[in-house]
Amino acid sequence: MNTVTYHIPNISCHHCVHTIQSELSEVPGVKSVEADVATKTAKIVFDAPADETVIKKVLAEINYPAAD
Amino acid sequence: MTDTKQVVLPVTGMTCANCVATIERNLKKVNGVTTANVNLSSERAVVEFNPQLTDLKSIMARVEKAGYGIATGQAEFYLRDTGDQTDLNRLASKLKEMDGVLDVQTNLVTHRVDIKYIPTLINQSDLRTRIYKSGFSLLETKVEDEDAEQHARQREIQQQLHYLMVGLIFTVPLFIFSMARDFNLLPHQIAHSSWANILMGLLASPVQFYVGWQYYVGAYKAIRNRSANMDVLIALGSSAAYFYSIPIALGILEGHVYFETAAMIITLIKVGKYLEARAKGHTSEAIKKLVSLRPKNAHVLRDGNEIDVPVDEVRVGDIIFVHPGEKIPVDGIVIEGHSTVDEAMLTGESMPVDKAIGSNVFGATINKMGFLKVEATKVGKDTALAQIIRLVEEAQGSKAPIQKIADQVSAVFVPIVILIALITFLIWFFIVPNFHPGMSEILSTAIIRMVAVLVIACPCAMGLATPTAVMVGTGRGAELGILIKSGEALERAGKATTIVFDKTGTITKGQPKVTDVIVLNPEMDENRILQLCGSLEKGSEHPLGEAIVAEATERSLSLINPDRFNAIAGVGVEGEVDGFYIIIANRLGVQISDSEIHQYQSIIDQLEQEAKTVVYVNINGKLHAIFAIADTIKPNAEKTVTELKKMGLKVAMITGDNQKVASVIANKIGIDFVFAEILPGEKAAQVKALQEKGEIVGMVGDGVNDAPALAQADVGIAIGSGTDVAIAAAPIVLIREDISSVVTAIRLSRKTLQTIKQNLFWAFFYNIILIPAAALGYLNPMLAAGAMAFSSVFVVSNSLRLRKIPLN
Repeated sequence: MNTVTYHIPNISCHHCVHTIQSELSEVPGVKSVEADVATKTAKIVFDAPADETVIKKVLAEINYPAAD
Repeated sequence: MTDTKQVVLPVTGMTCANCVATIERNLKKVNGVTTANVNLSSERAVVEFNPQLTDLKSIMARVEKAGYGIATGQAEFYLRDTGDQTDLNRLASKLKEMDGVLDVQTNLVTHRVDIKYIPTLINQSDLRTRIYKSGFSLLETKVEDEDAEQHARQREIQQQLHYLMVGLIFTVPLFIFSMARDFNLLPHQIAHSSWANILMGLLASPVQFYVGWQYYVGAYKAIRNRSANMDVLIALGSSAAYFYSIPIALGILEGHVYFETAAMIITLIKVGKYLEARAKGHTSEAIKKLVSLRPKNAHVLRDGNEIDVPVDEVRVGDIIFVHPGEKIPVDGIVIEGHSTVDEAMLTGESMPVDKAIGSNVFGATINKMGFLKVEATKVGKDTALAQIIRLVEEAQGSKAPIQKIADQVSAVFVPIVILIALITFLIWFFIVPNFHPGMSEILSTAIIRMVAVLVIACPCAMGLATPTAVMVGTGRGAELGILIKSGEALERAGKATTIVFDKTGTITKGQPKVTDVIVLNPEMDENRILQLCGSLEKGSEHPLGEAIVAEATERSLSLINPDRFNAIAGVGVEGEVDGFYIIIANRLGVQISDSEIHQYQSIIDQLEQEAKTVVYVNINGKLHAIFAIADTIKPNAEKTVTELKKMGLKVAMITGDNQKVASVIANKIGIDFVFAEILPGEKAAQVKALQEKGEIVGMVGDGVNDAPALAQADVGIAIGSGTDVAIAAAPIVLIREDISSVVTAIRLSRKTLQTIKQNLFWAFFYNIILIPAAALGYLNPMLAAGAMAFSSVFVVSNSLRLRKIPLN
């Protein structure tokens, strides 16, 4: 079980949180997603087959790229 | 074929440019959508799709799944007359055919048609036109005019009374004359004069064609639309008796005239209709009561003066003065003064509620004692009262699934009855052994038995069975602070086998509270320790810290600003207050030796046994106190669980908390089934698991956090939403915080369902027994008409009993 926290500058409202949560939850292997408007962060818990590359790719696709 | 269709949808809830991208992406994921363009500023989505692959519903569902809404319009129309349920079903299906119409609810009792539609696709005048084209006429009302229904009702009663009076004026002499002749009470020269039959015909004609005209019109409309309703039966039945009598009166045929039968059928059914119209008025009494609560005037501060304005002119942000004993005109927030307010009319709670600066107050509630200055926050359609009225009205117009049986039967009922009537005629005319002296006797017997079959059959009792009960049931609920949003919810709640409670916020208050303060060092007393700890925790956002602050505040201890404050995540806090160095933490962080803590192990064990969280207080390096903090159980929880179990329901509790805390609470209040350590997202799955075991699940939760579980349950019950009834995503909303409302809601639902079943049983049974009786000649057509009229009145009266039925 891995946990990553990304800073996602594009988060601006609760809808963004909802979008990130619903899109990432569809990625196989992702166990939980908690995004937060105030801190503009998302905490993702995942297992194989998901990995950071896949997650970052999805985030970029939905226009919420993770900041490095 | 690659036909595409374009629709423009009004999207709500978009706040940023990201939203636009999200919705477009989601829409394009729908199979069949070719293009999707969303505009943030106009809040429109233009979608092109292939109607063979997808439809409006799936597109809308996708937008909603993405977390946004589609703005829908709500039109309400009042029909001038409704005919019966078959007519209304026909109207509803005609309307539903239209693009952009999402839902249609019709109500036989209130004559109301509610249409949910997408305003960018269709407008109210299109709807109006379609209603007229379907053979209905509308009462022209302003949409806002909530008295329209009452006027419509009053007019209906007046009109029925008028027809009834005219009917009686002609029918009573006709009946007396006819009976007197049949019993040989009239002189021979009158009884058998050639004009006696003609006189009877003259008396019957106004009844047949003036009082009974409505039935001809109704029958014509129904037949033109290829359906058949009650009007057809009455028109056929009375016409058969009437027209058969004409050649006899004119001396062309031999035999007995049946003018009095024709007139009696129409007049008796009018008696029934009149009684029914009056009784139906009572079914919407609860709503009328709510509507009548609306305040008329408000004292508003304008240009520095207090002036009286009609409540419609109060704007958000206005400063309103409310004197003792007055109604609060709109929803608002108290900005000056304090008082107690009677909110019983909205919540069903009889105890007045304290209000001080910052409290929310609601329109139509009554300020009991002090003077209040209120800033208006919600006016007009947005007030809690207006929302409650709207929800109840919508619920009253909705159909319970059980009504489908009645709808299916009544759709084929009338044609079948006509068929039975024809068979009756043929059998009596051709087959029954000919022992009558003359041909005319045989003909009249056959006709009269056919007429009896036609008029005894009563589809209207079936049509009224469900909606009247739903109306009275939901209305009664509203009076008790129980908002049942649909007939379906009512039915499901009545059938529930398991009630699942969410723990936090539903069974417990959801706010941890300091339950025990154990002082371990005589240097300082309890209040001093709490004062210091409360001061240190002042800035804390942790629920345990807040509990300590709350306890200190409750004891009116003055809190001071800490000189230093530091929160250590997962451990506790430390800092300096009033020259003391304080640590408030769990065992790991409190920096007290194990051996010292060990002395108090039995106390600690005891507290932990009770599922309380133990917090240690270190002041200047010494252990000074132990706090036990726990969520407290709501007052009526135990009683509620006991009552539910007595009603034969299984009671379960679901919580994210650990097994220990959960079982302590469950044991305390008698809950048998506990699902602990369930993550918020998994609550719905747990509900589903229960459903798969065959349980009909009622889920009780706070309506916001538990929304998925409430939605998964057969019936979701949101509790304590206060007066913010619209946001709670549950089909049943309990306005009061009091958990025992759950018992009342289930009881009310069961009673209503029971009433519906009684009504349906009565309506079906009545037809099944009496149609054969009429066919076999055991029922005089006049008696049949009386019996038919009575059946509807019985059904409505039975539903009205729900107003008074005890629920405690």
